[in-house]
Amino acid sequence: MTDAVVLENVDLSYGSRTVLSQFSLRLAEGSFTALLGPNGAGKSTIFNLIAGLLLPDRGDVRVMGQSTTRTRAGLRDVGMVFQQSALDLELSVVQNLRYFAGLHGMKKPGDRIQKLLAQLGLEGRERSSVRDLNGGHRRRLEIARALLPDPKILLLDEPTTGLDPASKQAIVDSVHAMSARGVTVLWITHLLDELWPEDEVIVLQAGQIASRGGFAELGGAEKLSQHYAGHERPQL
Amino acid sequence: MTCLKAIIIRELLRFLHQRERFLAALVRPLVWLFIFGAGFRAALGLSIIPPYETYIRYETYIVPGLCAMIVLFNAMQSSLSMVYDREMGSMRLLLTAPVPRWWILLAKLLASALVSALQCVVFLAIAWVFDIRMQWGGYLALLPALFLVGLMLGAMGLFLSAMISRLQNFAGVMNFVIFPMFFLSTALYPLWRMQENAPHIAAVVVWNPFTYAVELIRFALYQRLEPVALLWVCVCTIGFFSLSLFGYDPKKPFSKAKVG
Repeated sequence: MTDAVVLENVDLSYGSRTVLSQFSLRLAEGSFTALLGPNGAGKSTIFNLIAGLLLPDRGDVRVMGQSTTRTRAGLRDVGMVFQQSALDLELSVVQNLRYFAGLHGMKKPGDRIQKLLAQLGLEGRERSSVRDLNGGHRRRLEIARALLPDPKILLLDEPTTGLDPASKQAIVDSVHAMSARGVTVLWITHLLDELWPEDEVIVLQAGQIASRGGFAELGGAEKLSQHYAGHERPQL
Repeated sequence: MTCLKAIIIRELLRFLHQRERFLAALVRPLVWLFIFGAGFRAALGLSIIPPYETYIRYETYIVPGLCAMIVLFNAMQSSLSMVYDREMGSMRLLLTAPVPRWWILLAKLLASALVSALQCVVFLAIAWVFDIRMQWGGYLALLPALFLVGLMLGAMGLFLSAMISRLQNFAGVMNFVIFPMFFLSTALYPLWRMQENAPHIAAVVVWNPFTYAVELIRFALYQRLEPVALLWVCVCTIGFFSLSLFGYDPKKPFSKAKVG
């Protein structure tokens, strides 16, 4: 199995604060990996490096075999749900999706948009202003946007924030189903009940991998929460 | 090209959705034209200076400056919306597009210049209704000049948006960039008037890129090309755009702090 995402000996600092030092990570194609860790451990930095928002001070980041320091073409295969909403409040649901499709070079996204809106329970809201959507619907729209280019890699930073339990479960299930179909998923979360026993888990602490293995293998929710001891207890 | 089209359509839609912004963009120069213009007409005498071949009304003199004012305010509005987008998170969408960053910034710049030119066309149409008219050829020659000025001031706005980390800091831009740029230019009074009455201020006006933006528009309205103004506008556009690229480089420390 080849690697969809590779971070190799990455150094990254914000001014004098070193966040990652000689950090390496490989995500196999079609894998589902949950990235856990207390606030400030470097989870979002890793997300931003893979997303091409940051470039490493040293080392290399490769997405589908293409280095983000040399080309941004690899990002065509990446869908992202950011922790903070990235929707344009001035535009409607469909205008937001069309804008994103355009940024990704999709020429006729109409059918795909309709399909995703139906899949995520947003049909009939095409012309609604994003400003008028509730938090849950906005989150669904973010997910629809991430899925729009039919990505091979899905990066999700706390994607279920603001969702009711049923919507949350639906998102968790559908992302797992996508992973089963071969999409590589990196899921950043504090909510251990979102994970399935067979998921791979990486616990990050102070920019280093503290432990890595199957969710069940690492002791499930109870044992994993101990990794946060002294930092922050995750919601269970 | 699809990416460029998407960014331009988004900017146009945002502009159309923000009706208050459109109204404010028009009211500001119209107030200058009809209220300040009427007052200043009595106080200021204008001699015949190029590109004018005869005596003109003060209102006619300030039209190019007011066009440049519209472009300046729109560029700053666009810059403000970049800072807002960054604070709200929607900037990430733009910066993670699978196209080179310089292309994204260039597309933003082209979109901003296009919106500015549209606003100027509406402003000139209103002025035309109130009998402040130019030759048709002048209006046509004006379009590329407006677009070039839009690129220069838009690039300056992009650079400012890269430098400004918080929305609250933007108020300072009004005081330290927009007003000095506008008032220390030939938008409202000709250079010779300042050289006569305040030579030290005239010296600043000569170094203000906005002066050349105004003069490029002024000469274009009379179907003439002012080469010095064109050179200044082109050099400043390249300079500001290069600085913007530096500001949005994901390897730069201040750029990291904004996305991290």
